[in-house]
Amino acid sequence: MGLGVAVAVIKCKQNQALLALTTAALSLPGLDAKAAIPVSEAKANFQYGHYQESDNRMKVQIYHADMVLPLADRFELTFSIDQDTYSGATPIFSLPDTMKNQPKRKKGTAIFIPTDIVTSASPVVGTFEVTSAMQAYKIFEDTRAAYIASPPPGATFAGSFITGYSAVINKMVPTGDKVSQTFEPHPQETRNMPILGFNYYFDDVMLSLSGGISDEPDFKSSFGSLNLNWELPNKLTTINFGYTLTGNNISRAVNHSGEEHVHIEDQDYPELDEQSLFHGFNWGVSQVLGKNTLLQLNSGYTRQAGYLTNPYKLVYVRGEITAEEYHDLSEKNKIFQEVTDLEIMGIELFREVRPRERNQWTFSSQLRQYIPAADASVHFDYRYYNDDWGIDSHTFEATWYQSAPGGITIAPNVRYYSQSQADFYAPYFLAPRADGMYSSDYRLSGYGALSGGVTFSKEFTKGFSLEAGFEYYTHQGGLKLGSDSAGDFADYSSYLAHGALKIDLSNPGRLLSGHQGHHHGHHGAPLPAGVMFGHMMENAGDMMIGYKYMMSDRDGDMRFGTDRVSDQAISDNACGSVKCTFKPDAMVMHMHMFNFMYAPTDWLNLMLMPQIINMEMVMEPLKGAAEDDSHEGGHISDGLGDTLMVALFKLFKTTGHKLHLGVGFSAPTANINATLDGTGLADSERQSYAMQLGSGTWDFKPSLTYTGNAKDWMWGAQVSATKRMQSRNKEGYALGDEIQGTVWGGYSFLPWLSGVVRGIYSVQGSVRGESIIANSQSAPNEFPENYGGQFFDIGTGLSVSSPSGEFSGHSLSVEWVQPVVHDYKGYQFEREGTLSVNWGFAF
Amino acid sequence: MKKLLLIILLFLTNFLVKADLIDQAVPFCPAKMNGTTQNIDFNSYKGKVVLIDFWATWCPPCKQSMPFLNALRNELLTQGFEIIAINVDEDKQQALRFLQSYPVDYQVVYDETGECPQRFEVEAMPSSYFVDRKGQIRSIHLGYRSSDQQYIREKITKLLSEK
Amino acid sequence: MNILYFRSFIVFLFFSLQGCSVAPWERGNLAKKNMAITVNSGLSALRDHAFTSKEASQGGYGGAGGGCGCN
Repeated sequence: MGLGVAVAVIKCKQNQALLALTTAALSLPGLDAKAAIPVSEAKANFQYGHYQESDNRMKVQIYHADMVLPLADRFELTFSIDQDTYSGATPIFSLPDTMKNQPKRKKGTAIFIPTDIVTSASPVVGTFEVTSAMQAYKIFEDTRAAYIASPPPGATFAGSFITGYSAVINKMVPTGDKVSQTFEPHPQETRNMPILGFNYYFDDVMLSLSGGISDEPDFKSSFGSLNLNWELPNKLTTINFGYTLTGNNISRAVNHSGEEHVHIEDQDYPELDEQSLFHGFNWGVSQVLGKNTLLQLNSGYTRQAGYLTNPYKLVYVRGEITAEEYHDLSEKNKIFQEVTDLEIMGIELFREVRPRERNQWTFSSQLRQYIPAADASVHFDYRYYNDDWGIDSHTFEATWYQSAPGGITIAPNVRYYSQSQADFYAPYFLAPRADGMYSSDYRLSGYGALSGGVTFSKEFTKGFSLEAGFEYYTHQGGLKLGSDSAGDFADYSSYLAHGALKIDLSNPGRLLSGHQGHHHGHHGAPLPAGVMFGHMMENAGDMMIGYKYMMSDRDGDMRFGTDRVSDQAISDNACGSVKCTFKPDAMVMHMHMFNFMYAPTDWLNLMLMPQIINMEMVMEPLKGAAEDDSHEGGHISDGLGDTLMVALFKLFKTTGHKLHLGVGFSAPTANINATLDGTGLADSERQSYAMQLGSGTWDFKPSLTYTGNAKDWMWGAQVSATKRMQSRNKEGYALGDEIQGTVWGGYSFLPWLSGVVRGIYSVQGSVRGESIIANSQSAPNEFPENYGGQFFDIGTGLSVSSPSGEFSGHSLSVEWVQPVVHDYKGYQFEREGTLSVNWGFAF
Repeated sequence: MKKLLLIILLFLTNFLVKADLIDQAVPFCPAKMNGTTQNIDFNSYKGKVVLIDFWATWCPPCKQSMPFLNALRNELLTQGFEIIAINVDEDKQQALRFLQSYPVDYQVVYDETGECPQRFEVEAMPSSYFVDRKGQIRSIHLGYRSSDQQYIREKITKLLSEK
Repeated sequence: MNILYFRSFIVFLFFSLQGCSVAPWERGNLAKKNMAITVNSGLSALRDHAFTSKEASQGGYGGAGGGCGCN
């Protein structure tokens, strides 16, 4: 090993780095401030993801938007929002196969019903005949029943009964028995996660601060993080430090707590209300190894403390409660807490318990290598994970980014993951554990997973790009590195499909419009936030993205025609031939609409508006009505709404006056089969027409808009309609047609601030046909004749827009629309005010 | 022992400060205008104040500085100010494509080999070398932020006021 | 002989610890979008969330993000 070899092995230019280091450190005259880390230009990202597991297990729709906005030379704002809607079935516990799906036959019939031994407290009595393996259990139960009916004097339950019981149970789990999972359908739930952050750029250091919340019905989390990124003077090495603090609040949603799966009477456990706190630290270094090579090494430590258990999963533990204790519980009225610390959910079935602390370590490396000959880059990632629950894992991932002509990138990817099982994991427990920790959550078992996917993206010249990708993932016990895998009972697979629209204004195609030459000022007067299709862009090639948020929160009275109406009248008349038992008490609706507009010519604009809707309705029993629990607990529906596609045609324009025509269609992209029980199953009762996310029909939406302005004044008018193009949707009905006229006037108090007032008159038809799948028929909103009417509302609002400078091209408006006069068809829940907020960015 | 000393000496030479370019003549370097095989001759610019700017299409602050530099050059042209932009993209075509969409009025020359920036001992991208009327490099500015505009303007104006 | 090998090793170490020196004007390929540590932050966050919900390992990616009651 000589000097020559050493130098030849490392093919580098000599000394540049070290020179830079020393001269910079000496701050020689003539050399100015160190070079800065560039601040990015504005960027926005909109992404949709669809995750689906095999066998109708979990299904998740993920909507995501994020943006980075430079606020000053060294300061940028980051914001992201996620909404996940998930439903489907998840495994709740696992049992030896011989204890599951024992056939129970109804006497005198040929019908066999599969039964889990543990879920039926008294499975073998009554009208059911049992077969084979359950025979021994039946004999034991019969004998015990006889003992209870007439206990022999001086005898106790101990002795032969315990031996007999143990013999029966032991026979039921021969060694090497297969494991089966029991699933629980999960009603639809939605999680929202907004995150706000700031980045500040010093000369060589970037400081990031961010915080956010993750909100779902049974888990609320708040988190904040601080990150420091330091580029060393040699500009080849960057050091990173980060800290994240997370606080969580955990509860248990009643509708899928597992209580309805197992039958255990007289439970007296407190409701779940627990906390956990995580401290996470990470540090790393990234190093340029060559012209085409970058390597990053990272390490992290997280300490989790508090309630770390899964509130829904159960475990089968034999021996935790002895046969005598079972007898005492049922015959001598002992309470559960006297017999075990675990929460009882069935015979030998308990809620899982995990430790209240978890220390996690990760070590990872990321290599990025550019291959000039192929104009491609290859990424290799490796992560080693270890925690004090006994789990350690290895993750290997490789992605090849291939550039193709036309701004296209194709990126195939493969990932292999292997983990060992937690110390307290077993598919079921044949004896209690000394430490009292138990989990049968397949995610803590020993297994391997392999996934492969590909992503396509294309960059367009205007600074935006489109992306779509697909990845298939398979979880298999057999793929685990080494031994001790969980076997294949928990195997499943899933796929993740995604699509994204990215806008990056720092693209060469967009760059110079940032500070100079931004000739697309926001022309024309700002519109009221609640008006749709009202604005046309004037120059070919212009684009605009926007977001509109609408919210209404109603908790008023029921109406008929123009009058308030009593509960008695509703009960007698509003539900067709039956008596109503419920009426709406409150309804909250949030609509998020994303607007993408493009002007191919100066007389035509094309718009695409997908939307996401979140609705919640709470019902109240009518006074004097019969008992009914069909609407207990309120109803939610969340998800994608119908998608609007509109073309706007410029008809007429002179100084101060503009007229344009809108020709649009609403595509029925929303699911209209939201069910009362939240499972979305085909034959479950449907929610009412008002709670469905869309119309289910293709709708024609024409509009004619006139706007005028003079000096600081502006005004306008619009006529628009919605005509359903199909007489019935797949559920058997069609919403009513609508027509609306609106007139507004406004004044600009300041160059950037204006106020607007408007009047809106609308006529809506009632629902035609009726839902062919049953809804519960117990409330007025479930009947088609209780929809429609004529309404007059007044809207007031403010608009902010920046004609020049850092924020030119952005506009923000807010409007409150208040119902003033209404004449309802049938019996309806009163309309109340709606808030609209509209943000648009033209570029 | 001798070998060890040699190694230590070699190691130490790394720390010797380079013969730095301040108050030196502009070095020769093989940068060419598009479509020619002739190297640019910096001497022909004597009498003018010149800003030699090293840039590349992959460097966002470089691209950000160009509209400002273009406007500054056009403003001060009559006072004897010129800009020579040396593009160091390894693929000249990328630079040419960029300039088609975003042309500048000042002289752009190309060096795909990396020879020019080496001779100029470029330490960061972009780098701006302020050359006085006598052809001497008076100062070097590394990087670019929009808050540098004032500083650059002042430096140029000062050099222009010298005879 | 051993001392020579030892010194050579020191020099070798010295050069290798410096990392390969890449001149500032040679950073073109490293600046390419596909050479970033995270090319696709949206997709990375999405996959990260999917893997964290279904696997026992957490972290190692350096991103901030909240917990979720993933069942």
